[in-house]
Amino acid sequence: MTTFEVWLTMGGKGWYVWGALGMTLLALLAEWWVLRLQRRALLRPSQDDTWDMGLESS
Amino acid sequence: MGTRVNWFYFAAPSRCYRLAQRLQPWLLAAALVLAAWGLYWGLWLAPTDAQQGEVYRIVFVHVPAAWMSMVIYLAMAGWAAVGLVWRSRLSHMMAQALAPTGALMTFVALWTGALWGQPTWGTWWVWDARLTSELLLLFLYLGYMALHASIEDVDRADRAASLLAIVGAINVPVIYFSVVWWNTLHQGASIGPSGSSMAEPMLRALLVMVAAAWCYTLAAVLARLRVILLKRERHTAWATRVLQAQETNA
Amino acid sequence: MTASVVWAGAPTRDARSAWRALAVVWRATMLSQWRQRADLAAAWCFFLVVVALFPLAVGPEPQLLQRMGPGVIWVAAVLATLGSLPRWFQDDWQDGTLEQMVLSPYPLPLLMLVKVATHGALALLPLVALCPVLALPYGLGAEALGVLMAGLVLGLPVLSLLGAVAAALVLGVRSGAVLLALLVLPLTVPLLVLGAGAVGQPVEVVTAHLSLMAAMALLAVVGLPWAVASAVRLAVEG
Repeated sequence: MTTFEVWLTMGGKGWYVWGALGMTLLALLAEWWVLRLQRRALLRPSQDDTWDMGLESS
Repeated sequence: MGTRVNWFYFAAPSRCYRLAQRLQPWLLAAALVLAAWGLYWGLWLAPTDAQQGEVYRIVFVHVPAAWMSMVIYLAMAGWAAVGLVWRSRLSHMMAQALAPTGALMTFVALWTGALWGQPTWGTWWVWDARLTSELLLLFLYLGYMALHASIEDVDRADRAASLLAIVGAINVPVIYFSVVWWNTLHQGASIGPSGSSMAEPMLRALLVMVAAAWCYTLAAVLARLRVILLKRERHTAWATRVLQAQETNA
Repeated sequence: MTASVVWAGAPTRDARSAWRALAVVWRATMLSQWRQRADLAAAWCFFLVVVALFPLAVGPEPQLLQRMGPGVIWVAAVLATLGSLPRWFQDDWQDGTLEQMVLSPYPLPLLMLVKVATHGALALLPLVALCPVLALPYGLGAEALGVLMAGLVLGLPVLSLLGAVAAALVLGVRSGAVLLALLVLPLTVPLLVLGAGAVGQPVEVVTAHLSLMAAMALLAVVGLPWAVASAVRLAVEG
């Protein structure tokens, strides 16, 4: 087994290490995705200008 | 006499929004670069650990997440205090922006801790000081977010949640040390990831990853702050302009 | 407690009328809790039932029960107090007495301290009194029992004050009782570790634990009434 192969499988515990890294990445991407969804949701009501007279409270 | 610093310059929502908008891409880029560098160093260059083999490399994600989770809580409590003392809405909004990222960091720390524990000590959960305090910290974050979400009046929600954050922050060291003490009391059953000294190259990679975590956190928190600002200040002039500009770009 | 509570004498800020105001708060709280003594008794019964339930769930092995006993009793006491928390401020808030307290010239933290102390004592001291009875099924010796009871008494201020802050914060909030559990329970961990963990330890450790709890109690009494007062102001002023 070359060093690269040992490294790739992390000495047999590959699932744990790469799983941890992958799961972290997924969590961070999910955070950005949720923020993107929230930004999208912001834009929708502002398209309707007739009732948005600044009287509503957030 | 020199120029006087106006500490409250960025307390105006519109200025804060613009600052956040400008800083965000740089912070994100820095986070990516630092993470790439740190992971290259930590995953590839750093030597194999004598006891744990390759699995210890999870520490390069676990430890930064754990540290950030605690730092973010302190920052949240700090902004909460500023908001209560100087009655600035923006400080409360900043605390509100910090909470979800902090909760996420805590969750990542717990998850990666479990994935570290299973191959190393044979159990998915280890009742050691760090993981147990992380679990309690997660509850504190969730409590803050739940309290803020369930009070209808935004100003009361801000101040109530901020009060809770401060009471929680004072308790965090007490809770942490009592959990450490609890661990010593009931030893024997748990062999946990206690503070092991790290070799030099591993430590350097870890510090780089911590810096990456800082930059990422700031970027995410500023992005969330922008969303909160637009949502709450929707009826003001500057916000309508920003929203209309975004609309034409979308 | 109805809004017809009359503040003794004209509301001035001198010491005598302040003492009288505190006495009024104490007496009114005791009176209102006496009128709701069924609810109080229900909390005590909850404590007894929980403590009785555990051996049924884990088996009657004496050694296991002896190890578990202090922990179970502590958790049950915390949960019983948690259950009674919503009622501490609810009635006064709804009929306007709390608002009168906020508007009065007397220092609100002091008024709140007396109120919280009364509620806490009513909720927890009977539980402490019940401990000798519970020592028998769990096989706790006299020494262990003493440490347990001392711990519970020393933990009373912290538990009551932290619970009061949370109870005041969730006044009028929908599903506030559920939220209370999430807010209060993580904060009680030091009490559980120190209080339940002291039982069965050598004397020096027990002294250390109880001293720490006493220190926490003093800090809580000095610092937390301010937080309770702020939370109550938030609830009253909106």
